[in-house]
Amino acid sequence: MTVLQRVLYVEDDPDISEIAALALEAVGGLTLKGCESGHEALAEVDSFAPDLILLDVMMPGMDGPETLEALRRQGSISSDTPVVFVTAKVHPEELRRYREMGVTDVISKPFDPMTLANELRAIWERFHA
Amino acid sequence: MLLRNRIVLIICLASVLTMTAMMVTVYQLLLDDYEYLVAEHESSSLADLSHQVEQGLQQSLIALESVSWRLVDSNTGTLYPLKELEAIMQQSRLANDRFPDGLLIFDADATAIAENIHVPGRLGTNYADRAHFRRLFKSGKPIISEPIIGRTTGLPLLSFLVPVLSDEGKRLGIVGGVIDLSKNNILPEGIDENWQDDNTFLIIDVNNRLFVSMQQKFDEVQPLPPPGQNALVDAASRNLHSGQVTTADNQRYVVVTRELADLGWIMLRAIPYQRAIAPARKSFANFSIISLFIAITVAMIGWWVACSLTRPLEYIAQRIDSMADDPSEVSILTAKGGPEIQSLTRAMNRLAKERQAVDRLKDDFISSVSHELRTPMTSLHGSLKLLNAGVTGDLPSKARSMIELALRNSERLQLLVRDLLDFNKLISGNIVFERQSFALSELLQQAVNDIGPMAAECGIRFDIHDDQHLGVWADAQRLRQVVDNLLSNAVKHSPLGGEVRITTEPASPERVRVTVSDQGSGVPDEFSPRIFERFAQADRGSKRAVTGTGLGLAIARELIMRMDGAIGFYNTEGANFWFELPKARERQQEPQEESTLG
Repeated sequence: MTVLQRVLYVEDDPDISEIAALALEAVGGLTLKGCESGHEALAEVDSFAPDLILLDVMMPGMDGPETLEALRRQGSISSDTPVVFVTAKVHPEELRRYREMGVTDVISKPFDPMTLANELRAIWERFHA
Repeated sequence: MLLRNRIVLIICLASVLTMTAMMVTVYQLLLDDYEYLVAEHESSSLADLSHQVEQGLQQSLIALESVSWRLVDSNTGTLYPLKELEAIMQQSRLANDRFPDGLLIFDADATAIAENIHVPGRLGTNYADRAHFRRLFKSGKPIISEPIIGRTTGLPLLSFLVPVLSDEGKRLGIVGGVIDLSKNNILPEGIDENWQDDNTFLIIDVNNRLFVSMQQKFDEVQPLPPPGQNALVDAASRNLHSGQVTTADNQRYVVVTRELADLGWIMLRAIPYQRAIAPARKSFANFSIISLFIAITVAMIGWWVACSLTRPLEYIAQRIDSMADDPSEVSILTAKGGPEIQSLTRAMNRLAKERQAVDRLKDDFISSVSHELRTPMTSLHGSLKLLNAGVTGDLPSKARSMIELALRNSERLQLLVRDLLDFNKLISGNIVFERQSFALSELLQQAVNDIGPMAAECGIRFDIHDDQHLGVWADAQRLRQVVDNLLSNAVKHSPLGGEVRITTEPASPERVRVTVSDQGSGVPDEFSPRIFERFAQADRGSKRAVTGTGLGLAIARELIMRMDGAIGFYNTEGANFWFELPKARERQQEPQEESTLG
């Protein structure tokens, strides 16, 4: 089993992207590729080849679930790439819907930047266990 | 009183009043009508009778007249000689039949000259001074005398007189006939037998003040009582055509009278009032029974109408109640019944739909607020956390304490948002409880473990007393929320180095009680009545106590109530918060692993 290293984070809010960058790179020691939209992610995903994909759910234009769909259609997500939603909406019904879409896990906002990397590693390990 | 019963009562009262008024009126009309009818009937029978009597009298008179024609010798234009006159008298069969009490022939000056039955002292007597002869002289026509009271018998005699006229119309003599009423009846045979009963039939002679007859027999002639003694006689004397008479012994009669003009007699029929109106009574009884039947029918129809009116109302009220009880329930009703009921149903449906729309709007709103608040908080809290952790490099100590302050408040803000959303969801009934049976021990231990770091900062220890390993029937995730809240409250209000005790015990055969006791100062008395209300926080005693949102206990109470439990507190050395929940159910003893992850 490889170690989690490359994370692609699709997030329309640049402030959160910046926090995530610090949290994952400076605190967590991961390699992060931030994308501002689903379209950008579709363009970048293949060249970046992420180990794990983080998707914001609510985004203008193409939202998280749509991006996930598009990535799958594009064939950019292999079966061993976990996809994690990041969302401020954690209504039990919405959580159920996300799980039905086949996402590996859901992280709720606001997340703790000091533990975010570890959380992702835990998800990674559970996914590959 | 139920609306339905009121309507029924009003209908019943109205119908009873109407019936009563109608029955009183009808009864009166019926009696009057019957009385009138009886009087009419009797009056016409009496008229028939008097007609028959008068006809009989007239026929007698005609028989006498036919005798009178034969008495004149057409050759001489004078009466036949006496012998022949007597012979003619003897031969006139019809006249003899009609006047069994004697025929007489008078000369032109009313002196009796011949008779067919010998009565001493009659022949040769001049009768010109008698009233009926004077009447004959005056009118020149046949007459019937008024009853003459026989001097010896005391019975009335009727005298018939017919003038014997020449061709020129000159009176040649007079033929007379006598009927002795004590021997011969002038009333027709076979008068209605009913008249014999207690119906009263009287013939009185007003001029002579005599009872001629009490029944139809003429053998009881008596003087009339003086006026005022016999009401019936008085009525007859007054020639009351028809009416009601009450006698001295308080008997009421329906009375009709008829005058026999020729004789100056008055015939009276009196029928006891009660008998006269008996058929009316019977009709009225029938009418009453029909009325009663109608009243009952009306009452039943009223009941049915009232029920059909109020049933939809009750149903709608029930639906509204159940909608009020369960906010997630929306019932759209079909509009049926009367127009008013239908418009009520429509109005109520509109309200339900609007509520549905408002609920949706509220859900959407909460969801949006949740997102809109959490997104900036992610950046805010994240950056503060990073700063505080020194990721961006070391900070001057003053800046550090400021960052800590900001971080603390940002955390508080987060909790507030979480609690607000939770509470909103709770009171709008959007939370589904997934209840199952599980043991408390693991949940309590996990809660203690999770709050451990925060408690450790203040040197607070936990002591769990769960000797009986009790289980409850509840939603583990929601229960954990309650326990977390109680524990964090206990920690906040404990003195440094204090101990928080968690005790489980059976509260009753069906319930389990969990108590969280701290060693703080307890709940202030003035605050205790509203401790479970929203935003009801005690005076901020310590710095740690500030971090609450004021919603924790309100949410805890709501959650416990929804799981059929109870919650409360009491003060001893510190505060003791407790809650009770239904005991774990027998068939699901096994605790659920996931349930403690919440």
